[in-house]
Amino acid sequence: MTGPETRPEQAPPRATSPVPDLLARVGRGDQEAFSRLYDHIAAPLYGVVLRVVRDPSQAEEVLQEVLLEIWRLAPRYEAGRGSAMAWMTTIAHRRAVDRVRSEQASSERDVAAGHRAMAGQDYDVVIETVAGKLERERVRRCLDTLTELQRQVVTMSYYGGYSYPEVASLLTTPLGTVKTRMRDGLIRLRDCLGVEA
Amino acid sequence: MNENVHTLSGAYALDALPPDELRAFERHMTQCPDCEREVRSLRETAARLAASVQQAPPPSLKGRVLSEVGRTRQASPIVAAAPDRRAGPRGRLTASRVTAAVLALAAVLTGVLFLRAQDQLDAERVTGERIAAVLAAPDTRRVSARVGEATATAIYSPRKASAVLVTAGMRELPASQDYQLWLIGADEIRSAGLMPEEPAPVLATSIRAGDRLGITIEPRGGSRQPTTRPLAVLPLPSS
Repeated sequence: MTGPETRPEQAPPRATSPVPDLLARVGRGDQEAFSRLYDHIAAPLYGVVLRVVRDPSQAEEVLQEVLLEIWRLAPRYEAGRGSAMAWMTTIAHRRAVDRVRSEQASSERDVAAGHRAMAGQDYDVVIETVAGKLERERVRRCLDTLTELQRQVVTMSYYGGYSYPEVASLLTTPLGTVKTRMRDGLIRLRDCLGVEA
Repeated sequence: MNENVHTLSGAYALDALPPDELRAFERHMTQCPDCEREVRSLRETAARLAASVQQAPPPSLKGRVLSEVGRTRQASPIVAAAPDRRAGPRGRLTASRVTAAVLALAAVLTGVLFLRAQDQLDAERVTGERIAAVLAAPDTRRVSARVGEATATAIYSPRKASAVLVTAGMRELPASQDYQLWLIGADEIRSAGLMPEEPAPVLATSIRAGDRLGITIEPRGGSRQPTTRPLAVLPLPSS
């Protein structure tokens, strides 16, 4: 299944990341550890929240809620259930998606934004951190190994915050195809990035 | 397993499922360890998508968050309503020895469920003293309910406004879900915390007259309000 072109990219230096240890200390109520954890997670979490929410002041508001949620729930994080970063990212992404979907409930969603995300046009935002730049290059190389449709459905839903039926309607593609492409696209991305579960 | 439901793992990891399918998939995962494993790896992958678009937030945010943190109480590892988190491991160990003794005594009085509870007692995680105090209260009453194949029993002390919940045979949940307890009052529902992964007595505090105790399955970490139908609702009779 994994062709030569999807050989795992060099994994980032996660083994030495202080994040898991810091989160464990935060889970024991260590505020100083939280301050240090903040420096490691604020940029990745803000980046994804901003992607989904789009409005910087709303993104900041959502991020503040997310960070407090992380502080509050840290005692319940268990390393056996996934990496610290994935746990925190899931909290951030869900919260951002909840925000846009609740807003959309009363008004029609910005379809143009969906098409921009679909076309990958706003993929090129300014990246301010070095770690972000390296990670972005890796992820981008791997996204390039996906089929066009796989890449579209993955980036539209993750960065655009669209549900899969919304993606299907924006792309005028059958529902079943969209959910299948989301799964096999992510699997291919996972294998290319050498993600370990 | 159901191939159709299984293909939702990608959409699930991308937070792209509408609410009804989200619930269906989470139900499915409880019976599908493979799906759970796959979802975990896809979540890790999605986190890489996030890391690749990182961008520093306005610098002013940090000060605001840190001062909020100073005022924000953390959730307890098991029970949101749990009291004294400051107790060190040593204190907790001693407390739970006391609890174990009280539980053993209570078992004679209130039935075999407690014997199991005692076996299951997790010294690290139980808020021992409070549980012991509830079980030792003179006004306790006991209510049981079936939860599918499992049994949930609440020992309730109106005087202490607290109840101890003991379960036996509850189905194990996937990593993405927790059992959450609720105090269901006439006009509001309050979280009474999450159930620990290993079966152990759970303490619910701040119970008001007329509250009932409900159990639901929620996304990991719990919800502010229940998002699924209760598996069981136990009345807490005050007289």
